[in-house]
Formats: sequence, structure tokens, C-alpha cells
Amino acid sequence: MTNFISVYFFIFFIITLFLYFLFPIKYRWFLLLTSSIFFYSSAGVDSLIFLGLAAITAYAIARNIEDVYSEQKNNKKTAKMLLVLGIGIILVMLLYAKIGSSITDAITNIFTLKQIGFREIIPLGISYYTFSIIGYMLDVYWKKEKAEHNFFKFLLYMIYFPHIIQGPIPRYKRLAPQLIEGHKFSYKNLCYGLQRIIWGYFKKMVIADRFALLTHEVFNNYSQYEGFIFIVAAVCSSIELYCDFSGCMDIVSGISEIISIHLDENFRRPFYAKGAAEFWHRWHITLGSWFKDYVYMPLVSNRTLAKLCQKSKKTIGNRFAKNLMTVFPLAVVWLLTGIWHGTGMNYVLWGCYWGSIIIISSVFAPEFKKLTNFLHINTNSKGYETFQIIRTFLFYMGSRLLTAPHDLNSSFEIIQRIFKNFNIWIFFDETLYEIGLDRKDFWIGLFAVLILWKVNSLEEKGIKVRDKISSFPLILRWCIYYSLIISIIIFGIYGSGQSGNTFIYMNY
Amino acid sequence: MNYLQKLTKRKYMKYILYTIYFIYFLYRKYMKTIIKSISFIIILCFMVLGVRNILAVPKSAINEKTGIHDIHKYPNSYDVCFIGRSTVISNISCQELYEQYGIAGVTAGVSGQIFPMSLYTFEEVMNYQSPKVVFLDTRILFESAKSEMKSYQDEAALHFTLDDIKTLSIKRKALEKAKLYNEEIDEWDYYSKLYYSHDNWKNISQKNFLKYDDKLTTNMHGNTLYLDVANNIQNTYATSRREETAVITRQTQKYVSDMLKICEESGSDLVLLTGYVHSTKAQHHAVTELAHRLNLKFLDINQFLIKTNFDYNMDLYDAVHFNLSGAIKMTHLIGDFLTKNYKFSDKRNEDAYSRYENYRVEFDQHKRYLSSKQKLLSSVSFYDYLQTLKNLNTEENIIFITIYGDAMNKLTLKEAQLLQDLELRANLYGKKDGSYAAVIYKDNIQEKFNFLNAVKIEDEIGKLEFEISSGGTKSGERSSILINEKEYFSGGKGFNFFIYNTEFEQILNTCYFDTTSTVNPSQSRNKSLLTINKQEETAPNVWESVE
Repeated sequence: MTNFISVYFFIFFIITLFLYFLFPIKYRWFLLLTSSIFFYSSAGVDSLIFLGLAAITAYAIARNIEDVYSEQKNNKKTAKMLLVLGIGIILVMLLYAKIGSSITDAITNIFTLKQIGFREIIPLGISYYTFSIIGYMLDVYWKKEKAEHNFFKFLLYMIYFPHIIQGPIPRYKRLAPQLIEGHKFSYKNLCYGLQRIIWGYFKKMVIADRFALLTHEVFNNYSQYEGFIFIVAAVCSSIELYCDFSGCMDIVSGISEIISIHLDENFRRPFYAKGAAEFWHRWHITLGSWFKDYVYMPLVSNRTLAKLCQKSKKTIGNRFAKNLMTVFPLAVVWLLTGIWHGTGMNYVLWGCYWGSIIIISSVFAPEFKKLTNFLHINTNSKGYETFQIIRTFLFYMGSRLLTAPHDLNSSFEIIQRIFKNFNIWIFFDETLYEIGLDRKDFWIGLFAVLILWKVNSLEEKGIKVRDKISSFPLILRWCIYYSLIISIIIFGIYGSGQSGNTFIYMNY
Repeated sequence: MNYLQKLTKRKYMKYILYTIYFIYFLYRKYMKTIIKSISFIIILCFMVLGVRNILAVPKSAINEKTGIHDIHKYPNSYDVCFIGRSTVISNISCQELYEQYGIAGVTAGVSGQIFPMSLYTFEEVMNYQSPKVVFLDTRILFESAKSEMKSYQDEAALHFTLDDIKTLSIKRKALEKAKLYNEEIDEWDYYSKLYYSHDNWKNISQKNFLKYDDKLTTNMHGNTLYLDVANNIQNTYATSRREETAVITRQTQKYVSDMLKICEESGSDLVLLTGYVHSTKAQHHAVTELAHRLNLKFLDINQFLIKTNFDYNMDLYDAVHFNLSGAIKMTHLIGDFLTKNYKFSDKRNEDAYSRYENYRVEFDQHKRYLSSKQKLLSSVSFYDYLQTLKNLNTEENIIFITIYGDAMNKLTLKEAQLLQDLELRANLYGKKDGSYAAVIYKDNIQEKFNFLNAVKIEDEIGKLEFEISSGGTKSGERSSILINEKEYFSGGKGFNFFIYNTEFEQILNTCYFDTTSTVNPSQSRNKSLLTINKQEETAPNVWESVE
């Protein structure tokens, strides 16, 4: 049931929605809590226990920090200790879930012990809710937020079923009041929410899962392919990941919108970004802003780092010493971002890859400016903008080659194999239809991407597509809705052999 | 007003009136929204249904008319049910059982089905019917233990059984077990046709928009009526030895016991049935033991081959399945068994069973078709063949005749007369070297004869486009029977016959009589002219040109 594509989830969602509006407004948050617990418990009792422990820890720590502040005015030391304890416990739980089995294997091997009976537990959504409660504890510590006194209301903030699986990573002050406050039925929100849900399913089932057939075929059997096939696979993988993740976000936001809860946006047309930094302001926005608020900013304003930068002026010069204030925090942020996505070396390298690009473009920005001036490139022209967009997409595509294959060795071999053969003819003979997608599937996928591109380009120009559709005559509106729904039913990838198609970001 | 005032004085009336007003207020306020929403959903449902009907795997007439379909449609109406695999589908005719004995029977068999699938089908049948007798096909008793696992892993086999089952609890039970053997099974494939077949958009064709129909192997009450004749099938039962191994596994025995329990609960009798001749004595013995242990009746056609006058050369469709004439003989055996052991009311006079009456004409057509086919096949000599042709119904059959080379030269007088009995005007007796072609259909006979030149007849009858030609010795020595651009002349040098049945739109018989050889090739359907006796000839008649 935790898979948003499953029929059981539909049934659960419809019943929850129905009950929500039947419940008295004052107690609707309780209905949401019960539904969310029920939803999450279908992932297993282990996951529920983990989440419960994390919730109790965060709740208790936040309450104690607040008590410390109120009883012993501004006793930051005690509060800090509590904070460190709380974050420590949460991180240990996260690490235990993510790398526990690897550690016990290593210990077993080093000390040649008998196999330690480690039971692998990967609680669903742990990466998301740990960040949300760490952020909450920090906000309480920094006095940006008051601690929640009702444990169940706090639990609802953590376990709210649309966002627990894949985010967006919420901020307590923005989400919690919406969850607690009961909402009246709004027909407009119902329509808008359903629109968004349908659009999300279209992206996920028609585009993402379709391209997944090609990418899985190529990356799982990479020894059979060479050259441009990997380029095609990388492009498809990039589109697949975007549609998969943003599709899920649309579904999640749509569900919340129906009950008049507005979640933070997680995507803002990232393929229109003109640089790596901008890309990450448009992709997985809540993760980026979380790292910015809770890792980057504290590091940037850290006095120790400032002193270090001052001292290093003599060795590395004024300019680079100044840059060190941003470079070091960026490096830490990107290392952690990589680890957040996965504990394999390929994710660490992925984090370093993005970190390097962003750091280089930031540190050497003056040099790049000089170069464009030297080459008389009009940086405001459409052509240059297009170049920037394509360049950013290529960066992103490159990063997919690090994470789409199973491991780092596979990634390196794939990169090598790209240069083995200049087989451009694959675009003209039938080869493209023999690598996971047949001709019809390929063209349906392409057509769907064109629709997506058109919608995104309208949004990028500032045209609110949903408002625009709402202004259409009824028949035209309904034709659009029916076309989307029927195309999901007919062209969606689901059924026997496909039912294991979960969302990619569910695995993080 | 006074009345209203009095009414509203009563407390409960106030609340009722407030509630009615509130509902009316909501209705007025949200009327447009409610109507829009409901309309949207209704239109969407229709569209989804339409898409489902187009995309769902087009069912052949066989699947449309399966016994399970009838079992759902006519609950608690059957006296007898047959459970098993393709042997109960083809080797029994419930229509014949009704026509000859007045017993309402239905076959709920599925091709290739074995336990435990048969058990699920049986449970479904017993949910909808209360037959007096249930026949269980013994062919499903001899599968190995691995077959159970395979039947769960094979999604096609699962669909074959579960797609017809409406009872959700049975489906659920089967799918839960199937998932243990095959994790990839998506249960919604079995609950929703659209879910299962939504991918069919890739193979969409005209068929998806039409109701598919297959006339030749039609389906009456769950039976398939095969209208072809296999030959050279060995009698394996007679040559088998009792000492050979035939094992009914414990698991299978348990399934049979489970079936027996269900039968006992519903007051039905379970009878084991070996309705196929490809059995062995060892299998017969194993089933006899099982029947004895469970106190079941057992009927085996192999014990009654002589009594039923079963003909290995005419009654088989293939080694295992009977054609219609074999099925009729099997049905008579079952009918006799049933009338001897049970009492049934005669359903032939009841309106509730008019569906059987509706099939009478079609069933007779099938019997006639197969009978004509068998007679033509069993005709050894040219003379016998012509005799059979003479009695053939030309309302339903088109006869094409061409002659190659000097074949006419070899005709006996009697044979020439038989040809004329087919209402052919040409007297071919004693004609040397001529070319001749003829088409006989209903009252319309087209024929061409020429002494010197080759002849050709081109025409169309319904969907059939034909071009037949003949060349005598002087005009090239050839014969061709081209039907819908396909050549059916099989190279025989003699009299060539092609008979097409217009009701079934199938070839009834093709045959040539080789006038250059006196040896009759026993392995093929082609004959040679025997008994060529020129001394019987009389003086040739004057030529008649019919061109």
C-alpha cells in the first residue's frame, strides 16, 4: 500500500478523503494521524518502531530544550548538549538503517567472528523524516520555533502519509499548523488537487516507467552495448529520474491540495537551469534548502572557519582565502548530499562531482566572465542561454552515469565503452527499438515528453497552466482531463511484471 | 398556516423540517457542482468500459461459449457437469445428451487444466450449480507433483482458469497460493480485464472492434465440436501392459477427496470418467483402485469400444480428442450409464432449456458436415466416391471437378453415368483427350468441355473466388483448381475433386483419382482408378459440346 501506484493505495486514499470531510473539523488532524499510522504500518512493524523511537526522541529533546531555555535563562550549554544528544541518536538510527549490515559484515570479517545475526531493517522514508526532525530540533534550539507540546500532533507532522515516503522535506513552521487546522471542503482545491495527481501519474507511469525499460536494459547489460547507446540511455535515465521524482511530488502535493494543505514545492523546471547552482535551486528544492539552512549557513557563520580563512590569506592569497569561506561549507554540503543519497562510493563521487562543478563555477566566475568577454559572447542572447541550458543538462546527464548503474566499477566501464565506438548509425537503423523499448513505446514516450516540455515551457514563461485550463470551456477542460486519464490507463506501464515499479527516491 | 403552526409545535417535526431544509439548501448551493462531478464520473466510467472492451483480449467463440459462461448464466439448472481438461471438452457432446436422453449437461473443462486448477473450477461450478452427477476427467489424475508448481507459475494457465471464475474468494485463494511459487504475479491482472490487457494497444486491429467468431470448432455447452478426421492412430490401450507404471500422487488423491467432500455436502455424485482412448491398462487399474478406495463409480470408454462401435479411423480428431462422431458415441455411453443409475426428468419439454433447442439446427449441420466428410474419406474406389458425391447436399457444398490429360479415357460407363447423375450435361464416356471442368452448386452448374483446347471457368460464389482449368492430352495436359488464389490441384493425373462447404466455409474434401497408376497409395487420400475394365465399354456416344 505504500506504493502510490498500487490499487490498494487508491482505495486507502479515497476512504481517507471521504472520512476526512465527514469528521468534525476540530478532529480532522486526528483522522489524518490515524490514516498515516495505518498507511505507514503497512510497510512493516520494524519501520513503525523506528519511526516511533525517532518521534519520541525528537519530541522529548525539543521539549527539554525549551524547558532548559525557560527555566535556566539562555543556558545554551545544556541546550546544546541535549541537541547533540538528540541529533546523535537520530543519526545513529539513520546510519544503523543505512550501513548497519556493511559494518557488521566488516566486523565479522576483521575479527573472523561467526556471522553476527544482523537483521537488516530499512525503515521507509527514514532519510526524509530524520532530516525533518533534525531541522525541527535545530529550529527549537535556535528559538525559531516553539516545541510542540502535544506528542500526537508532533507525530502527525512526522508521519503525514503523503510526504513520509519521498518528501518533500517539510519545515515544521510551515506544515504543522496546516495539518492541525482542520480544512473545509473546497471544490476548487479538489479539482486542482486531482489535476495535479493525474499529471503526476502521467509523468510517472507514461514517461518515467517507460524509459525505465530502456535504462534498465542498457545499464543491467552494459557489456552488450557501446557508444551512443549509453548516451541515449543517459538521456532517458535523466528524463526518467525527473519524471519519476517530480511525478511523485505532484501526486503528493495533489493529495495534500485536496485537503487544502500546501506542501513546499520540490521542483521548479530544473531543465531550464542555466548553471549547476541554479539547477540545484530547481531540483529537490527542499533538500537543498535544508542543507543550506542547517549545514551551509551554520558553517559559513562559524567563527572557527572565519579565523582559519583569515590565517590562510598569507598562504593562498586574499581572493582564495575569501572563497574558502564558501568552498569549505559547499564541499561539506555536497559530500553529505552524496551520502544522503546512498552510502556507496558512487554516491560519494556523485556528491563530489556536483560539489566540484559548483565550487569551480563559483570560484572561477570572474575568469569565465573574462573568457566570454574575450570571445565577444553576448551572455544575454537566446543562443547563449540555450547553450547554458544544454550544458547544465549535460552535467546532470553525466551525474546520472555515476548513479544509474549498480556501482562505481560499472559506471567507469560504461564511460569507457561510450568512447569505444562512434556508432551514430543507431539513430538511423532500428537499433533504438531493440534496447528495451519497441518502436511504438519509444514514440509514445517521445510524444509524452513533448507534452511535458510544452507544459514546462509555458510554466517557465510565467503562464500558470492550471489556471489557464480552468479558464477553458467545460468541454475542452474535460477533454484534456479525459485524454490524460485514458492515456495513463492505456499507455501507463503497469501490470504483471511491472508491479514492482516503485519510485526511485523511495530507496533513499 | 394554522396547520403548519400546529405541526412545528411538535419538537421532532422541527428537526425533520430543519434537516429537509438543510439538504435542500445544500442541493441548491452545490447542485451544479454535484451534477458536474457525477456527470464527469459517469462519462469517465463509460470511456473506461469502452477502452476495456476494445483492448481486452478478443475472445474466440470457444471462450465466449465456455461451459463456465453457461454455468454463471443458468444457475442451478444442470443435471450433470463435466470437469477436466480438453478431453471432456471435445469427447462429450452435451447437446447430444440432451437430444437423445433429455439430460441437461454442461462441460466446465479447460484445455490443459490439471489439479489444483480443476479444483478451483469445480468449486466455482458448485457455487452456481447443484448437479446430480459430476464427472471427473481421469486424464488430470496422472500429473506429477512438479506439475502443480508449474501450473501456478504458468500465468497463461492461471488465466485460463481464473479468468472465468467470478467468486472472489476462490480467485483470492488461488492467487495467494500462486504468489508463493511466482512472486511476479500481479493479482490485479486477474481481477481486472483492463489492467491485464491495457498493453494490447500495440496489437490493435479490426478484430478488437468486432466480435470474433469461429464457426468450425464451435462451442455448445462447453463442448468443442471437432469436424476433422485423423487417421493412422494406434490403439495404445490395446497394446499397453498393465504392469506399466501409472501413479496417482497423494496430493492428487487429496484433491479428489476434497471434491468428493464438496459433492457430498451438496448431494451430488462424483463419477470418474476416462473419456479418451489414449489411455493405458495401468492407468485404468490405478483409477479403479482409487474409485474403490473412495467408493466412486468409474466409467472407461476403453472397456466399451465394441459396444459403442468406436472406429479408430473415423472417430478421432487426434490421438487424444474425438471428433463429433466419436463424441456422440461417448455421449451415448454416458447417457446409458446415467439412465441406468439415476433418474432425471426429461428436459426436452421444458421452456427453461430452450437454449438446447436453439442449437438443434446448428448441431445437425455439424453432424451432416462430418458425416459427409467421413463418407468421402471412406470411399475406397472412384465409383464409391461418385456415389457419395451423388448423395451430397449441393445446397451446402460446392463441387469443383477438373480432368487432367486423357483421364476421361479411363472412365467406365457406370462411372460416367454417376457423373451425369450429378446433373452434369456432358457425357464424358469414351471421350479421348478432351478438356473438362465443372462447378456444381445448388441448381447452378457451370461446365466446359473442349476436345482440342484447354478450358477454364472463372467466377465467384460468396467470398469464394475460383479459377479452375483443365487441359486434355492435345492441349497441354494440365489441371488447376485455384480457390482464392490458392492452388489445390495436387498434381494428380486424373480426375480432381475439390469440395467446399459453404456453411462452415471450409474445405470438405480434396481428392484426385490418378489414372496413370493402378496402385492405390494407402497413406494418402488420393486414390487410383481400380477396376478399369474396358470390356464393359459400349460404343462411344456422339460427342456433345457443352461449351
